[in-house]
Amino acid sequence: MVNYLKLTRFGFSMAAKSVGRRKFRAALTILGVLIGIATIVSLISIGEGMQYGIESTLKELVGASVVIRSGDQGINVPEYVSDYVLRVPGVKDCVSVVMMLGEIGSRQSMIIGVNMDQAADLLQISLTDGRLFELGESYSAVVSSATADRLGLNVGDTIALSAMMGGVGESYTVVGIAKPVSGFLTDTGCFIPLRDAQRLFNKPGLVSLLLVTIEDSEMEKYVAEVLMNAFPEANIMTEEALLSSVREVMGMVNGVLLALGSISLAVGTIGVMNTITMTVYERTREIGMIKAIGGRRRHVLSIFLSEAAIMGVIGGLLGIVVGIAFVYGIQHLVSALALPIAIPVVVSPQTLLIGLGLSLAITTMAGFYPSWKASNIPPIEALKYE
Amino acid sequence: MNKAVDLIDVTKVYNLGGELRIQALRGVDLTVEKGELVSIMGPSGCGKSTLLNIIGGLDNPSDGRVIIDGINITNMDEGKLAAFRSERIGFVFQFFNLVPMLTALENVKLPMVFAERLPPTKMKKRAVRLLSLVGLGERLHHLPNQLSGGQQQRVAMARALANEPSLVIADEPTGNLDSEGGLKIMHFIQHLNETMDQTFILVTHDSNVAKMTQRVIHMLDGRVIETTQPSGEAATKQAASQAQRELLLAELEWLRKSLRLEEMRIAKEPEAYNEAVTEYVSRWKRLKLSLRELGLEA
Repeated sequence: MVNYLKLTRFGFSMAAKSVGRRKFRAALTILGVLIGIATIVSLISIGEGMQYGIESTLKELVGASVVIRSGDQGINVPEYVSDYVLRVPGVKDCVSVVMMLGEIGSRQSMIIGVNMDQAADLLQISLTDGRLFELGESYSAVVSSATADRLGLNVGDTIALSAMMGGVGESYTVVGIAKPVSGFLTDTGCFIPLRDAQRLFNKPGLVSLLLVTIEDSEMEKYVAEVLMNAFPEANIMTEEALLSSVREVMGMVNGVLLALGSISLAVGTIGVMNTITMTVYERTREIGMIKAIGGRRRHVLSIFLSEAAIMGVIGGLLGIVVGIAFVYGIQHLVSALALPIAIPVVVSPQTLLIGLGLSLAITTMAGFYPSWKASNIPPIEALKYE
Repeated sequence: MNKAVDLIDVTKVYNLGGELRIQALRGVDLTVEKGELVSIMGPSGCGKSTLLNIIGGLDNPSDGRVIIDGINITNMDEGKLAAFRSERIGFVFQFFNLVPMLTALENVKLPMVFAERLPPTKMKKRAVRLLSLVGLGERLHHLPNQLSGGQQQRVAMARALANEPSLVIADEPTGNLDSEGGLKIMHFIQHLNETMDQTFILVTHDSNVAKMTQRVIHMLDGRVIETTQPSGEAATKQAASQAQRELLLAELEWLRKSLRLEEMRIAKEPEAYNEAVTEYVSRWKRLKLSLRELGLEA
């Protein structure tokens, strides 16, 4: 019966000395593994971060569990649909939204008509100045802070809003300024009361979309089915469906990223194979001696496999550290340069385990062939080797 | 069962591919009793290293029977031979062959680690005792490159004794040492042979080394041609010197031929030529010295 614990301990103690003896070469080999693992770890972290970022943006963007819109992109959903929706069991609220590209003065802007008492919470509108308009109020607007900055607007100023396609302009009073909310209030966005928007775009009694919130997320599917049966011509999206399609796309993106990362890992692996092969050549006489004085094949194998594994573990650990440092560094750099993109990063424990496991598995595999060859050299030939 | 080694009509043929075959051993019968200290002499290429490898279980014979310590190892496969070597044979090599990154103590422990029989504390104890026995009790934690050649060879001897082998095999144990270091090693071998009743077989080129053994086996062209006892009567001594003279002259002839062959390499591989010539010259000097001792001139 082979005592694997003893064997492993023997292999590692021999290998540790060998690595220590050829520090420079070991360092270069470890560097190769390090770069490979760092690439993989940073790519996975960025990929997961992107997925997380997109999912949370989507959740904010939609806010609701179910979105009802007409088949085309226009303002075509009858407002009375919401009365029906509200009667479906499990539905908490149904918010009507008119959304269309228009102009503030002569600048393009997304104009959004909502009743603030219903929508403020769902859309997470936070004011930096002024107030929200109230139910029954007319010709009042809440503009995004960026638009306010650009146009030099303050609370109390008057702005001219018009539909894109040569609609008639109307005057509105700015009552509040809001921070951009992802999705609905873009940089150039502007909120006005629902009735005003319907009039501005000449769509009385119609809305762009209905945002449906439900009491229990488990009801989502049921509500969506009821609504689909009731309005077969409508475009009904559930949050879950949206998220799963996003996940599918992100899975593909992550796959591509990993494939790219694997190339650098493959290079690192070849480095390990090369180093172990060289070590085996250099130490052929030693292998012969070890076998002559009673070392079995497994002893020889364990020495060289352990050497590969040691370099794998060190390279893997350092690679994880460097990979994480790298993505946070990039993130920091991007925000320091105030670039208009964000690099979301999620470092999960699984990523660390994958990094370490991958480095160990791959280096051991790379080391296996030369080690196996070494263990099969007949002792007399190895002893004669110069 | 008092025989450490019992060889019956052992032959060894190397196939070098195609028609090229080398008959390294042409039927060797040899018996070594337990507790004997035996040396094998003969010119280069006479088959003594091959014989030693076969006795040590490093190589299988082409034909004949090899019985070591009562065990027939003639057709053992490599796995079983490894276990056999681990348990029964101690090896000492010309170039010491210590593991460079292990200390003297760790090197001596190595065969015990491979044998997987003793607990670590006992291994250490035993290794320390063996190193003290060869006079290196003070240098347990030195690395091989911190030791002189003679000291390294003594570490190798302690290592050879680690698993209490029934037989220690040494291939030119003094070949890489100066005469003083070689003498010291031989004294240790004699000492271990006497005090521990340890069987030794050594291959040597050096007649002074052979003189310090109980029996000298002379080989030529893959055969044992003569067995002499250097410490015996004057007559045997004379016979030995006669045989030795022949062997030396044979080797001298061989050297001449080899040199002539080497000369053809001057143009192509000057470095290899120089190396070979240096080696031949030193061997030549040694030969001449040996011949002068026998009262002859080359």
